[in-house]
Parts: sequence; C-alpha cells; structure tokens
Amino acid sequence: MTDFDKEKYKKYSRKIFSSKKASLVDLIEIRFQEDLNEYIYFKNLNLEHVSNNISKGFSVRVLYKGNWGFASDSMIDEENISKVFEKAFSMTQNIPEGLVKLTKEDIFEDEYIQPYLINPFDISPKEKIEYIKFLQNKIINSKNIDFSDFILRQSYEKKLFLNSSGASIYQERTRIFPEFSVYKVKPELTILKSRTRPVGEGYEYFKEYPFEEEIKEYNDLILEKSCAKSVNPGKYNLVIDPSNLWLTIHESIGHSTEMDRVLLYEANYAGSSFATLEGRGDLVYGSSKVNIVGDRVQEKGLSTIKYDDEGVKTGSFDIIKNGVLQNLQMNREMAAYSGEEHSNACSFADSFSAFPIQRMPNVSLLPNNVEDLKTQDLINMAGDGIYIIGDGSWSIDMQRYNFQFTGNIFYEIKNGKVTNMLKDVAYQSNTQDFWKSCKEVGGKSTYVLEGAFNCGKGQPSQVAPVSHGSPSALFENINVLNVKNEN
Amino acid sequence: MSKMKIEDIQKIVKKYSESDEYYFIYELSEDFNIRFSNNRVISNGINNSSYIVFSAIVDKKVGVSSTTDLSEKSLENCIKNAYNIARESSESEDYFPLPEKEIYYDKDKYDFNITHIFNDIESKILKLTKEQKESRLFGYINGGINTIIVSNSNGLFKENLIPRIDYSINIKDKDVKRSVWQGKLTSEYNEEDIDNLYRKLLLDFEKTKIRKDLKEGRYKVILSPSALSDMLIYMMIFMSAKSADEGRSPFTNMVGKKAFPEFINLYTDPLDKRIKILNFLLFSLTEINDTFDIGIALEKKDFIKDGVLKGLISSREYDKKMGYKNNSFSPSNLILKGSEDDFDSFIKDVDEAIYINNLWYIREVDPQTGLLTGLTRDGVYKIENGKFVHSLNNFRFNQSPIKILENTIKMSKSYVASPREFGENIASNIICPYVLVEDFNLSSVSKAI
Repeated sequence: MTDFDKEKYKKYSRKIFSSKKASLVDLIEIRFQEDLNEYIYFKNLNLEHVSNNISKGFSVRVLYKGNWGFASDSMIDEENISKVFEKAFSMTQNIPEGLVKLTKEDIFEDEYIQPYLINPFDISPKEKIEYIKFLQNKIINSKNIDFSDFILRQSYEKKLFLNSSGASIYQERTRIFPEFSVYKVKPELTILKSRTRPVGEGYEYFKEYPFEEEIKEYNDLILEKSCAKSVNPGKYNLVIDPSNLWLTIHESIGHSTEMDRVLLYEANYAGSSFATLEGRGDLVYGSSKVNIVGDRVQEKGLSTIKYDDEGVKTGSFDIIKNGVLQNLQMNREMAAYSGEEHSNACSFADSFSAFPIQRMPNVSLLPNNVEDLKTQDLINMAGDGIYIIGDGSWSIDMQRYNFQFTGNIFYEIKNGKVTNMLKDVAYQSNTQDFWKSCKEVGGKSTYVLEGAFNCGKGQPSQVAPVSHGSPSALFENINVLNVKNEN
Repeated sequence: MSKMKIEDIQKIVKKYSESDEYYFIYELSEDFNIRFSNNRVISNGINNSSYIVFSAIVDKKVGVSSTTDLSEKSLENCIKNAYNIARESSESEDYFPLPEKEIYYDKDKYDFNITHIFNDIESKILKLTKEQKESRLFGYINGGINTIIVSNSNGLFKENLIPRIDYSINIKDKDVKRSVWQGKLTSEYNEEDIDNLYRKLLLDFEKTKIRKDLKEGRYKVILSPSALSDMLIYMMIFMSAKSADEGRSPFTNMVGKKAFPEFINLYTDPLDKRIKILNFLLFSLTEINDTFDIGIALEKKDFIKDGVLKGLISSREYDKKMGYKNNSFSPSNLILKGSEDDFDSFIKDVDEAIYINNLWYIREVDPQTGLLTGLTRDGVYKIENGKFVHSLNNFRFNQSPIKILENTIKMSKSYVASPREFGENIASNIICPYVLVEDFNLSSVSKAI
C-alpha cells in the first residue's frame, strides 16, 4: 500500500472548487484512486508469474454548458491538480452547447469500508505461493490429470470522490478470485475448471475453500468427462445450475438492461440492446418465473459499494418483474435524459484515468419464493434433457439477441434422472426466447452468488467486477449444438 | 521523453536493486480520446500516464512489481516489493540468463501535439455530427504516443516510440435498421483521414439500402482485412510451441507439415514500415513464459511458408531444451502475404459470395480444434458476379482460424488491418488481405443490427 493522504487531497480539491474558474462551471468532480492488484499464476509446479501492481492517480471531470471535459494524471500534487483541471476545463470550451444534464442527488460526506475478515494484501506472497504449490502438487499427482494451472487474482481499491456540490466520499473494497483448471490430453483434450467463484470477500474465501476435496473429486470427474458421450445436436430441456446460468444472466439480461446501451452510447463498440426506454413496464423478457433485481448492496457482491462514482448512494431495484422489464441501469446523466428523478447509482470508473461510465450492479435472478424447489425437482420436471454445471465459452451479439454458451460439466437427464455425462455441448438461443422458455426456477436453497472479476466495456475499454446470483432453473426446448460438428 | 528522466530512473534502480539480475519496463504515454454517439460527443479525455514494472530475479526466482507513482519513494517501494516477492517465490523452471547488453535508441521523430490533434479531430467530428439529417454517427478516435523502454542488469537498453491513431466510425439510419463501420489504424496523424474514412463509410452505407434475409449455412465468404485480423490474433493466441507439444493446441503435431494451400505465407517482420511496431519483446498474448526474454530483439520469422507450418511462438529456454530452431518470440505483428490484386481486381472474378466486414464477440469454443464463435457485424453483403448486390442479416459463426487459412482460395494484396474486437490492443498489428474462403460456418441468424 502507498500513502493515500485523504486530508491532503481534500485540501487540494477544495482549492480548485473555490477558484474563480470553478464558479463558471456546472460541476467539478475530482476522484483520487488507488488500485492494488496481485496476480499469481502456476502451471503445474512452476510459478510462471507473480506480480504486485499499484495504479494511483487522479482525474478531474468538468461539466460546462452541457459538455464534459475530462483529464487525468498519475502525479498527485497541488500544482498538477490545478493543471489537470485547466486541461479538463479547456476541453469544454469553443464547442457548441451540449446536451448533458444531471439529476439532482443528495450530497454525502461519508466513509465506507467493505466488510471482510482478512485483507489479501496483509498476507505475504510466500504464504499464498506455498499453499498454491501444495494444492498443485495434489492435483498433478492425481493419476488422471496431465496438467493443471492455478491463478489467484486479488484486488484492493481505494477511492476518494469529491465534487463541487460538496460531496466527500472515501471508500475501500477488496475482492479475490482463485481458480484452477485441470487437463487430460488423451484420448482427446479434456478440461475441467474449478468450482471457485470471484467474490467480494477477503483472503478468508481462499483459505476456507475446500480445494482438497474438489481436487480429489476431479481426478474421477475428468476421466468420466474424457470418456463421455458426445452430444447429439437437437432441442433439449435444460436444467442449468447457477454456476452456468450466472453468465447467461450477465450477458443476456445484465448488459441488455444497461441504459447506456439502450441510448446507443456503446453502439460503436460493446453494442446496443433490444430493450428500449418505452419498454419499461411493458417489454416481455421472459416467463412469469423470471424476476431479476439490480443490487449494489448485496453482501459479498463484486459490484457492492455504498456510493457510486458520481457520489450517489446505492441500493437495489427491480429490473424484471414476473417476466416484464421494469427498470434500466443508470447514471445521473442517463437518468436525467430518460426523465427519471434519480440515478440508480450505476456509475463506475475502473482506474484513476478512466471516465466514469454506466456499469452493472449485481444483477440476479430471484429464487422461487413459493416453494424451495431443489435442483432434483427441476430434473424431475425436465423428464429428458441435459443438466449443465459450470461456465465455459460465451458469446452474444451486439443487440443481445443471439447467444451461444458452453459449460464445464454436462449430464444427460433421462426420465427425470441424471444419467451419464455428455460432452461437446453448446446451447444457442435468443434472449427473449430463452427466458420465455424458463419453466421453473429453484428455491433459495439452490441460490448461489457467482460473478465476473473483469467485465469489459467502454472506449477506452474498462473492466468492472460484478456478481450474479441465481437459483437452478429449467428451460424447455433449447437448441443444443455439438461443437465438434461445428468446425 | 527526456533522457534525463530515464537516467534518474536508472540511478534509482541501481541504488535499490539487490541482485545481479533484474529488468524494468518504463512506459510513458500521452494520449487523447474522443467518443461520439448519436451525433454528439459523449466523452473525451487527455491523459498523461507513466508506469514502471520492475522484475527482480534472485536465485532463479522472479518477483514483479509495478507502480504508476514515479516518485523516488514509490520506486524504492516498488523495487523492494519486487525483491520481497522474488525471495518468497519459488525457482522458475523457465529460468534463462537475461538478454545481453544491446543499446537501441529510437531515432524516429514524431510531431504529436496531443492537444492540437484532439482539438482538430473534435472540430471535424462536431462538423460531421452536425451534418447528419437522416442518420446517426457513432465512433471513437484515440491516439497518442507511447515511449516504451526496457533496461536490464546486463546493460540492455531499448527504447521504442510508438505513435498511434486509431479511428473507428460507424453510421446507422434513424431507425437503426442499417449500420456500417470503417476503421483505420495508423502511425501518423493525417488531417484528411477522418474525411476519407467518412466518404468510404457513406459508400458502404449506400450498399445497405436493399436488405435481404439469408438462412444459416456453410457459405463461401469474403473476409475483409478487419474481419480476418481478429481471427488471426486469436490464432496467435493458440500458437504456443509448448502448448502444442503438450497436446493442448490445434497446432499439435502440425509443425513441418503442409497444412495450408501453397500460397499461404504468414510471417512476422518488425522492420515492416506499414505500421510502426515494437522491435523488441515486451509481452505475449500467447501462453508462453517469456519473462526472461523481455527486451530481446524481434526478428523476421516465417510461421507458415508456402503452406508449411514452419514454427510457433516460444522462448529461448524452451527452444534450447527442445532443440527448436524455427520458432519466433512473441511477435509484434503478423503479416499474411497477399497477391498483387487490389480489392477491385480481387473481387471482379468472384461469382458468388458473402462479404463480411467485421467480426465481433469472438470467443474460444474448443481449444483442441481452435473453434471460435462470434458474430458478423456492420456490413454483410451478397456478392454476385464481382459486385455488391444487396446487404444481408447478421450471423453467428462457428469457425476456426486454422480452417479459414486451409479453406482460403483467393487473396487480394495486403493492407494494415483495423481489428474491430482487438482494436485498442498494442499487439493488434495485423497486415493481411481480403480473403475468399470456402465452407465458412454461419451457424445461425442474428437479428442484431
């Protein structure tokens, strides 16, 4: 960790806010940010990479006559903050009046530190390296495993946000993602990924995870997968585990309900959406079983934080209720444009030099609130079909219609029972068709919070961590491909 | 970048380094970006940034630490941190002595006034967005100059200046039913580029006036350099010599074999002047541990020569262990040699094909076969008798880049490509032709525009 002198930074910023030029503009935001990332990568017993990276600096965003000006620098001192402010201000000059308006939001002076037990950066690299080596040793001594790699990603983020309206918010949060993959080369390449998840927790997640049990189990599982029957392409009923469904939620619902996509901000790059502003309260996304919430206060969520990067207090909100679109994810600018009174606090910048853009809250499928249906209940309902566990490949089009996902483990379901393992499975569908085919969702006992450590979007491109909770769920009549036939 | 500054950094490094072996990478960048959507500028930025990555090597153990804060205190912490990690680390099986002393100062001069270029581009964009009546203009233009320095404990010192302007412009009709894209990646700022690109964009937009639907299937396609370049970058990710030997790659057991048509020649050449690239190894997109090779000079190397796979991507340590002679370090560019034909000559004899301008959201499906999936985007057209006849719906494809080269039957001359998916990556330097490819798997229809 480096010195992050909040009081000094506040003093520098207040000087800018009280300057003559500041009185000319509509808003100034100054964000000081430090991101600490550690990455450890083992391939078999060889430590291929270990690094510890600090990114630290500040940015100034100015709103003047409906236009943004934005500049940043990694050198934090009083003189430089003033220069960067001038640069951001100058970018708003000599251009026609713009359209940016912001919602009026409450002003907060607050500090927030995400709850965790052990700061990952308080643990020496040595301890982590020795533990991973111990685990890798167990993996590669498993008789059915030819190769293994292990990656441990950890982040710690500090942000001080100030604006000329009086906001002063300091926040810290951490996250961790250990994962391993095992490989069996013959008779053909077979890969299994660990069941670990990225989480908004401290080092305790890594220490408490039952790696040894999973490794023992994977020795048999990879042999079974390598000998599995190659799937016959066709239409299937799918029972999808939360470890796979989170990614489908992320791509087909999380991204399609981002207001910046709806307003075409991302149309040149990440893409737009089939959803519309007018669709709120009307557009049918899925069956009545589909209830989706956006939530930035969910415990251990990767997008969880008390205030967003515009100083707006976070909360939770319905995105889809009983299959119908309710709300989109917004920042202040988009909320104002779409006629909303307030932002729902979905602004995020991934580094000091990043322009804050609209990013996802934790977007989750709610479990069945009538009956605590188990995954086996859904398998019974499926009759014949495929049970899919764990994520794999993913891809979706630029308006979030057509998608294709694979998975980690697939089982054939016959007469309501899980039978043999399958391989080479990919499912392909369209977002609304898929969610309309959602016949049933599991109860809260099947609910798991999964997520993505680095979701990409924006130009310049940014990454954001985000969680997605889901129960197991049953989908009917979905198109399944055999990936070996596709080549 | 003043020499004084790097000398100061070197002094600090010497003062705090604790071993015979270390290297550091120093990058200084000044860049701008402007993003426009729906006929208005939505974000912008002028950013100065610098960082240092210090790699300490102690008894064949490596520790890496980086920081954006270049004060002496922060650099001291960064270096000490790297040594702490190295000491706590375990011995690397891939250890190889660091590259020997070699000094290279980049003598190219660039007149890159970032603020001036930003203002010029912004005024052009504002003019174009204002002109739109029945259409919506989108895009992103970023550029700047990066100074990248690698220095090691053997006295190696390499400096490259990498200038870049990356244009990406997209136009849609009012109802968002038609959409086309043009991009350009260049090392020089040319005031005419935006207008030229915009003219090309309008010509493409005209071609979308008639739109017909086509079902999924396996078709003969023309891939533009942009579409092909994204697939070639993915192919580069698969090209690890070690992964191939381990049976974890589509290139397993392929080296030395004639796997492609005779006219397929794929190589890397750091001296190719069409776009300025790094002439030393900085990082790899491929799964290969080249930590101990950082800073080494890149050379011209054949990957595929007359259809024969000559070599893959490797490190000095792995090549020595295996006795390999033909592999390349991770390249800064990939060049697929084209024919003499410009685009018009290339297309005139094509009786029937589907032209694909961009590929998007490309992901690996099967690492054994190299199967990738993704979407067509912003320009899919029916070609008949050498002419664009109408536009088509978009598709999801399932296709491996290796199959694309195997099934290529005709090529144009090569152009500097502007990869749509990998656009912002400094390693995205692909020079390739338009290619006519048989049996391309357009697996399903996408309604997306």
